[in-house]
Amino acid sequence: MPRFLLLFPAILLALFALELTPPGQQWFVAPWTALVAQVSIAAMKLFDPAVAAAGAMITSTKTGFSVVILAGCNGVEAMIVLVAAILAYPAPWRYRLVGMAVGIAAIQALNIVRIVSLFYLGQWNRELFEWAHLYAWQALIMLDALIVFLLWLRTLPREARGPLAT
Amino acid sequence: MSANRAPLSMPGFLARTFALAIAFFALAWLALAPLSLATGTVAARLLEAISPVNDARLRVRGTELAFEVSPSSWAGRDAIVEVPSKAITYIGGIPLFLALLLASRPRGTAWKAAAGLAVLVALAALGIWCDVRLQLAGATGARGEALVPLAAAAREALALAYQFTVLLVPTLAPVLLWAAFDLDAIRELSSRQGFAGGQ
Repeated sequence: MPRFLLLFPAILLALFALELTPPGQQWFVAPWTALVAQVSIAAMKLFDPAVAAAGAMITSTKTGFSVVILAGCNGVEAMIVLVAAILAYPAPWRYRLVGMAVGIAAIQALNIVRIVSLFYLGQWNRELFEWAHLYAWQALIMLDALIVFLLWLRTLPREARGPLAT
Repeated sequence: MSANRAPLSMPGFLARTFALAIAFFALAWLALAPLSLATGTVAARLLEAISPVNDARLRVRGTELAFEVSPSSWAGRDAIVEVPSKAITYIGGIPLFLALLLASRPRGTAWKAAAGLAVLVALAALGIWCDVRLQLAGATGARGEALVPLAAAAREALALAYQFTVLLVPTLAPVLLWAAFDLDAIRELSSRQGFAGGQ
């Protein structure tokens, strides 16, 4: 457990600082955010043809309402937390890689639901949009990361469960 | 596991967490003004304690905070810098923490809830302090001089701390606090038996 308690914050801070550097922003965050916007658009176009994306901005061509996906809304921070937790936990690399891949997919899937829901919520009720945007969804995404981590721990073989073995 | 608690199952825990989260998020939205006042007051005291300012007065306008700050370097002259901030950005973790804690109900839930609340308010205040201090560092007088100067390296460090307190702390801190207060719950929920049930 002490190993995890030391490694987790160290990896978390390192990844977070890396994310904030200009190269991190240019080569990872900006393209990732644009990709999130594109996937969100593709999901919305399944039931609403009146949406368009320009970079990280999603616009309703019917109402003119726009949202911009910024830091904190692209799921990157939750991904960083999950990756740091998985890397810090003493588990075989095969389990770590699968956990990170599945976990990132789970976080981003929920993040797409968040963006789509906020886009329509914002057109309907601004106060509710604020509530969901700044309050509920932020927490739900982190809860998602926690659940994924707990489920990942369950997949580990007993001998690799280390500090949390019961 | 706590002596007075039945073993946790993942489905039961999740169902309770979601139900409680909805209730606590609604309650916290209703209590936004007092929560903003509490975090803003701590942030104002932090400003006075660890920033070069003589006085930091707080005004709460609905959910918006406004800090009226008189810089130390302007002592003897009447300078007030008004800096806005939004407490809501920093206190979103409080309902999540309470939902997780009440969903797992460890021994000593009441004092753990109170202690966690105090820590989260302090962390939110720290986030607001970073926000306000950064804005103050950019405030200039009529001749373009910095009113509350900050060295370049300190500004970089503060910018990183601000990003950390705004992007990670509000959602990560409640989860870590809950885990620290109820490690048994983590053990139970991450065990294979925990998924099938036990409640």
